[in-house]
Amino acid sequence: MIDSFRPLPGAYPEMLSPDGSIRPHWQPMLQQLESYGPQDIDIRWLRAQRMIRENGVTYNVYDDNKGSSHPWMLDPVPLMIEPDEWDELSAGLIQRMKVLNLALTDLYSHQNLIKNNVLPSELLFANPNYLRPCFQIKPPRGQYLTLHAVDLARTPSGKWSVVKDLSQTPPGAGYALENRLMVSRTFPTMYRISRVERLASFFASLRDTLESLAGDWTNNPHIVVLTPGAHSSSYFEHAYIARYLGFPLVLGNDLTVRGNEVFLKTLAGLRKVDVILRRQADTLCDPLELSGDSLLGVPGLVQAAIAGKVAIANSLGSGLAETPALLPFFATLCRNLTGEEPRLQTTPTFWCGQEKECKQVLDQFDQWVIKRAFSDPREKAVFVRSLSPADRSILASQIKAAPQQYIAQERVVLSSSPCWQDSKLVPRNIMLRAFIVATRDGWKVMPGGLVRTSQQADSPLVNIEQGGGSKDAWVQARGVVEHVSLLPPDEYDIEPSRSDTNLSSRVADNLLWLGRYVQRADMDARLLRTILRWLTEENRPNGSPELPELFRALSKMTTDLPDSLLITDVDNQIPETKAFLLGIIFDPNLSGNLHSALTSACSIASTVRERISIDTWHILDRMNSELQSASGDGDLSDALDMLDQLLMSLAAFSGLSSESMTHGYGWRFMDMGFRMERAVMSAQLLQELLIKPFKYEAPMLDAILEVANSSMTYRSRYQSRVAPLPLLDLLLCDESNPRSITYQLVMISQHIRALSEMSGSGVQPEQSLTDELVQRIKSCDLHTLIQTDAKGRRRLLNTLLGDINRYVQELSTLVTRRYLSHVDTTSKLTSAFGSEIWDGEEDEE
Amino acid sequence: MIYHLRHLTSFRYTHPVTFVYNMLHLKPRELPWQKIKTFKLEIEPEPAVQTEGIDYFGNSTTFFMIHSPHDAMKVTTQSIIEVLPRPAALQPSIPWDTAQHIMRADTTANGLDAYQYSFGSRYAKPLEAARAYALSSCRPGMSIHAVATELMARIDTDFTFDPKATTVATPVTEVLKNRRGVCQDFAHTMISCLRSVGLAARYMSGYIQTAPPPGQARLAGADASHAWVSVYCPQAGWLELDPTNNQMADEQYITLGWGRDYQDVSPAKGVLLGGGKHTVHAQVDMIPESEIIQAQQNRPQHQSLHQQQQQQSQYWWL
Repeated sequence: MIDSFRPLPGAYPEMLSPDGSIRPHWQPMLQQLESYGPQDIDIRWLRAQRMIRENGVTYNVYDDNKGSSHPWMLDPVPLMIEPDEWDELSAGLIQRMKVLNLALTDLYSHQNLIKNNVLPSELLFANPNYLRPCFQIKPPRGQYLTLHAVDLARTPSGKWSVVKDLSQTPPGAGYALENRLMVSRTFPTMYRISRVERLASFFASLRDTLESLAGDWTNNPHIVVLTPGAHSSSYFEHAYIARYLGFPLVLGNDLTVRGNEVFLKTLAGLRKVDVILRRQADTLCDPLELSGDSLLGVPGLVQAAIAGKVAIANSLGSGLAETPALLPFFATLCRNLTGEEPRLQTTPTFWCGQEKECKQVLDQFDQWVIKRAFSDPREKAVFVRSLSPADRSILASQIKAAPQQYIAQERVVLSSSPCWQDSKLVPRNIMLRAFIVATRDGWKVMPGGLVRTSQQADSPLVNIEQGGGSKDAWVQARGVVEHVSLLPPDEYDIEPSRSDTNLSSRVADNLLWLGRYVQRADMDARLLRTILRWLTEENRPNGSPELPELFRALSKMTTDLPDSLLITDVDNQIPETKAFLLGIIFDPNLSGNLHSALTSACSIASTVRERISIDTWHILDRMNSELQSASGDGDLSDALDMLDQLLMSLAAFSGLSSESMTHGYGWRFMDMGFRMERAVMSAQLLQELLIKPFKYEAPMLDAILEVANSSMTYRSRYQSRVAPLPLLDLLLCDESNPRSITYQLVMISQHIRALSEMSGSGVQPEQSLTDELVQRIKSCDLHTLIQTDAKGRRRLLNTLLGDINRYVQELSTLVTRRYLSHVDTTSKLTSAFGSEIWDGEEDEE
Repeated sequence: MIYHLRHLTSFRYTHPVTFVYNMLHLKPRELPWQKIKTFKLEIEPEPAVQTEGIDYFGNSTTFFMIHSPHDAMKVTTQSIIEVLPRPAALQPSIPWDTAQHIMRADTTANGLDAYQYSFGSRYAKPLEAARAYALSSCRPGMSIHAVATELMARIDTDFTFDPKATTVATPVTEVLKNRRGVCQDFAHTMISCLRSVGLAARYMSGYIQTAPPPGQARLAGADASHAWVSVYCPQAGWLELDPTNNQMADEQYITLGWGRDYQDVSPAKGVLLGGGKHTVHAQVDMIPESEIIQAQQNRPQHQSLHQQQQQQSQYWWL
């Protein structure tokens, strides 16, 4: 396995010494890998990959129009790093972070670096990362950078060289942690034998540091992780870090500035936020002062930061330090600000905004990699050598027209490291992303990091967005390996109910709707399964009149197709029937069908990832893949199979959520959504199928019992043929039947009582509304309800069911208004110019 | 010249607004040629938080938040301001084609402050089209003063004042193409032109007094918020030019503040929650003190003026 491995020519071989022998610090790991053997490695790795997919480790790709997320690509063979080398590298990284922090301090205050000609002023004035409103922010302890990341490449000479700084929202630390967990779980012996430095202590330092940032005003800070949302490229990581550190994950909408302080909108009201670990760009943090047109972020955040009532890590404006055009000046900055020589080299970089340098770049154009000078994550590096002559001259003229906008970086031949592919070791180019945290008592480097690999052997690009992969980095421990873990167990879910009132209104809203969609999918699937069973049954009498009725009910309760599209004669419309049913199951373009209920459930679940246990997530993921993998053009019996599987998963979901979620407010909202939907859909089902009875009603009643999952109860109670009165008792009034409408209302009433106890506001309208409805159902005379009128309709029953439907909808609105009203829309206000310019509607007075 | 200035901005919403976060640039800037004798700011409904500050460019700011639901908001400033003639330049202005070189070498605080205005900003970027337009006024050796004055005159001739043609967000490329707009568009266009040829120019926000037609009384609310341009002449200082009226700024101009473009100094910008659609109306009265004294002596005129103002107010506030 190892003997046949050949490193990439010209590149520094990470694994091999110049004489071709294996470097000593690689040996224990490789020996163990070899003793697993290719087959075992493959089996273990397949399992790990399934775990990655099921855990939903993803990376959202910017250029993807669909905005879809790609599963995280991880390679099982770690990059090994020797302790002495790591110490040297760490010292360089710490120095780098120190220098950049000092540079930010100067550039956002006295600007001596500019006045003394250490940096050209254009670097600031032409730089969109230089945010003037941040000038007045003085971060706690003068610490602009709390967390910093550096991309490193190892040159053929064996020296590490900085390619890029990431100071704004340094991404990747969470992925590094997930990589570590995956590889160490999959190859536990290899991990133990290799004696690897643990990552957990780094995260403990990060957490302590964040806590200490608010030290000036509190000993018990409230810390949140601010994310731009589920569509951001590394949302998985945001949720993961929030969960790992034990902080709530919030969106800009969840926060509000009042009186120059920042608050989290929770169910119990507003709760002051002391520290924000932000994962969104500077310009998206405050729509009032930092951006022109975006509404993302927290209006007033800059003012709150200026007032010093909230600590933001990294400080607003710190994106300035990752400006690529700063790279060529790092050595000068280092000498000027610390009096030291840089310990870590920077990849030779020229900023074209300087005349002499620009000329030099254009003179030997081929050897450069051209990048934007003022970083844009979406901009790709351009290797001039790989351009056609025409494209080359276009690029040259673009640089000449706006030289300040470009940097040229020397092309680095990246080092090569073994990766596992097609059951063997193959060489790939790699880059290392290292992380540093500035603690109160000094700097700490994550012992390890995120290694990114190229997709092909000859590709100089290591870019996750362009199909590259990742691997873990193992720094060999010198002494005893420390054991620290912050990760809560998998079953960890919602915090104990005492602090559960911190649940943000948005999360509660999403949980409510998750409950509703899951239940909607459940009812849809049950109705569909009943219909499919009837259709595929052998002894179904021809021309049974119930089927068209069931189709009509199905359509009404799901997609609401026009009557003209409904099936009226099943036996003579076989292909139409099939298309109709499969459409309601699978068609991604139909609204309101099973497919849409399930996709909505999954997409809502993804926005509350940090609140859902991993097992619950696995179930949702499995349901989604069952639906996606079953093709819409199969047989009806295949569809029936799929529905059976799906219903099992849905049952597992409800079971797991009631068993493994703490019964705090989050669970209550989810269960309330669940109950509301079940009440509404049951009422609808009875309305569709019971109001206008056939002469011979039994098959229809059977169908209702089956959909309502109450056949067994009925049979055990009555042992006779199905009749409307006992059925109605069971499905409408019976408080002990978890499928009855009354049961749903009683549960909702309990939830509402618990919520009103939390807010301490006594009996509320939604409470009386529910109790009234329960009383009304109790006092109904079932004999009267099943009477038909002159037109053969059960009018009274119809009115009651219609009212139930309406009441529950109203209830939903009342609950939303009381607990979730913080979820509001934002717009921008502009003053008119001159005296008569209208912004918005014409005045009608 | 002493002015009594009153600036009313009113916002009305179709649905109640629950929160407003606002940043105002409405307090006139204290300058060697501009003395603020009194200044009063009133905001309705009363803000929960109101913070006075000075922004990066040295302008006065007011940040405020309203937390109670409301469907209208009114911001009124009243001030008495004395405007003196602007001081004459100490040095003649240098040729435009040497300016960039000289600015670049000047790393004094003042020099740096001026130099930053030669870079593109959100609403006034250097553009190929702006450069092409500017270059026909840039002959070798011409002074910055001459270049900028000629450019101003051409914009005044080539562009049509048309409030319907643009919005606050219309980009310069479009204004250059359609050649229509309001003072803000002309200021942005001229700044963009100047920056495109390497000169530093800033956006001036303030008011201009309009003279009533001869023999007629001044109409309430007829004066206006205004925007013009200030161009930097190294060694000589800043030269204020108004491309909308083809004239240098003089005692008829009250300065609120300046920035790289409108975005830096817009009189009121904000973020609100709720509110549906909103309408904005602004009304400016900039009355020379001499006319007020005259009006007091001539009571009927004063009365009618007063009534007119009342009507206007009712129009907007009922």
